[in-house]
Amino acid sequence: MDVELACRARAGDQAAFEALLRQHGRAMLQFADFVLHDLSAAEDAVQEAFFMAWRRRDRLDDPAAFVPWLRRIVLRACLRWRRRPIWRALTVADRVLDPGTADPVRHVDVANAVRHLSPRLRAVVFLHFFEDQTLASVARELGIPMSTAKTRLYEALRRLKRMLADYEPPLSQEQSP
Amino acid sequence: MKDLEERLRDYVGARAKGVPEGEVHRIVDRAAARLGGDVSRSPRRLRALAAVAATLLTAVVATVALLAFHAHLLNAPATNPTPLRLTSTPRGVMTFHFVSAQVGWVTVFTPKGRTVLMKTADGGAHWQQQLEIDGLFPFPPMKFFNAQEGVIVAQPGADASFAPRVWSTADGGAHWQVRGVSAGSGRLVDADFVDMTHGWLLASDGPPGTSSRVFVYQTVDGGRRWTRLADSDSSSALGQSDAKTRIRFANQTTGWITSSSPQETASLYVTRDGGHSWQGLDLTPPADAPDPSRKFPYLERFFNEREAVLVLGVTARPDPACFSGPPADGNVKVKPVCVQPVTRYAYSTADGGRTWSAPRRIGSAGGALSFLDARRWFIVDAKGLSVSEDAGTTWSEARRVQLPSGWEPRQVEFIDPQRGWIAVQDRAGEWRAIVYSSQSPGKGPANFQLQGELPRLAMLVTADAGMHWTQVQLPDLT
Repeated sequence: MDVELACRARAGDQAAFEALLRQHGRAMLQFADFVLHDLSAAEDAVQEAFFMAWRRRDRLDDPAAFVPWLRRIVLRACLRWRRRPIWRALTVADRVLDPGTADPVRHVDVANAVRHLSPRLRAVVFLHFFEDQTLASVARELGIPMSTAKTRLYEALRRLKRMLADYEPPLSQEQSP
Repeated sequence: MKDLEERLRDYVGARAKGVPEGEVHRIVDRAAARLGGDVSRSPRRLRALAAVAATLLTAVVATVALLAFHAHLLNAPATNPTPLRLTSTPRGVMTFHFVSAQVGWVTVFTPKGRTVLMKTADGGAHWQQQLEIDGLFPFPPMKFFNAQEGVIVAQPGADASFAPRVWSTADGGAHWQVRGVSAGSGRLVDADFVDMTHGWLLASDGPPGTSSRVFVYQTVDGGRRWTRLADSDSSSALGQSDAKTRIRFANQTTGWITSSSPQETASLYVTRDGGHSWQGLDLTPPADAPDPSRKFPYLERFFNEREAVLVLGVTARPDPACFSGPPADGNVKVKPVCVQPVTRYAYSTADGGRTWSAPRRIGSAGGALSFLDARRWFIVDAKGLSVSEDAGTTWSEARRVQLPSGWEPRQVEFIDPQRGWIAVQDRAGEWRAIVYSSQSPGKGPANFQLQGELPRLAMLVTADAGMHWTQVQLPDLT
């Protein structure tokens, strides 16, 4: 179905392209939100990416790989967006997460640490930990060598571990005699 | 590493889940509207251009207004001639602290039960949201030493299921480090830091305001490790059956714990060895306090190692009926809030707390207090701003603060004799009880809500000792 829609979209069928966007839009927005860590900026970046994707639809070589192709455009839009001075000026701290069933402060700790990763590292983290993609798949999706994907994931985890190390409560409580 | 990956997976999932489904269709609709024709300018660019134009216009208007303001100052009347018009007043409960004319922090407990920390570096013209945390009890103890260094101590949840946490920053809040206190350390009562590394934490194993066991913890490394120095079992003084309310330290050795007791006395406990041992000291009760009455020391401040001030609140007994919230059940607990007139008395010391002055009654019931140093004190109440230059012995005539009808001051802070801020709120939104609920008490996060409509908030600033007040715009946090 995706392939057929993608073929039609590549041929200039706007309705088919819109159908693809509605189908994969939330995943792209989730991805952009994680990369930028700013939902408002992510919305703008994704909208820009969708528009760019339509203009460059003739560059979709493999209709079966529509999602990775769109993902790369979204990532580029996010990176462009992040370089804009206005985005930096408007950046605010993390929005609140639905704490679910976990300790809410643990989320905030991780959020603060993740915020200090670069967008490229965040992109790998999102695909690997949210979409459960293998490193090979992550590499394909982002159009980077697998060794690069592996290095980025390792680097992201190493940095997060270091940043979160101080957070861990001491294992034992010292008592005065 | 496995724990990290699990936490990361939880976090990514929670964040992704928070991306609204409906938003996608709106974005696609917007994008689709552009697909048919190549639009040269995106809405964002148009908004940016509009923002630039608005900024330029604002700058021109602000310059004109500033010139007019300075011209007006030359012929300044004693007060604002007409009530201030307050605009953009978010709902919530707030506290603030300024370290200079430009740099200050505000925490707001929002209607959604979140605690938001914001910083201004330009006197309130712009605010940067730095922390936003669910599940914290309102009014967390926070201390900012200067424009760069600050500490916030808070405990998520309502029943000590989660250990207290220390948020600290050394770069003005650009980065915050979170550190946990040992599990099982108890319910956070209060905390104080004398610098970025030395801090004390007062915890209890009972509900707020009750005489339960207390524990004093100390950190000497900014909160990485906490050591229990004393508790009710090891210290006969701390073992007294009263409700410990505050802990404050003047330096690394001398500190105080304040308490109120069912026997209608107010007590101080002092340590001179950094918190290991404590001795009790009863405050001389005010001669004109109603009898019977409940007395509670609730505000104290050290200006240096010798000079300090302590405020004693006194309320007549029996206690007025407290507002109550919805009935408690397994998942919903209610902490009622008692609103009652409080008469305040100040005690001061000039010898590090060895001796205290006789109590001096300050202000009328209500109002807000600020202590610039051991002698210069400020009070803002319904009458306006009064200043004392002699540690509360005499007060200036109140200089009216022209608040709109229904608004009242809640907090005041002066950083020099001229410049100060007040937080005001409307009376219509008085909150009545703190309600917290948890899907799984003792395990899951608690959601605090202030029952009743939260008040509207505004902040005012003066640069001329209260002759004029102007509104500091706070961001809309809804």
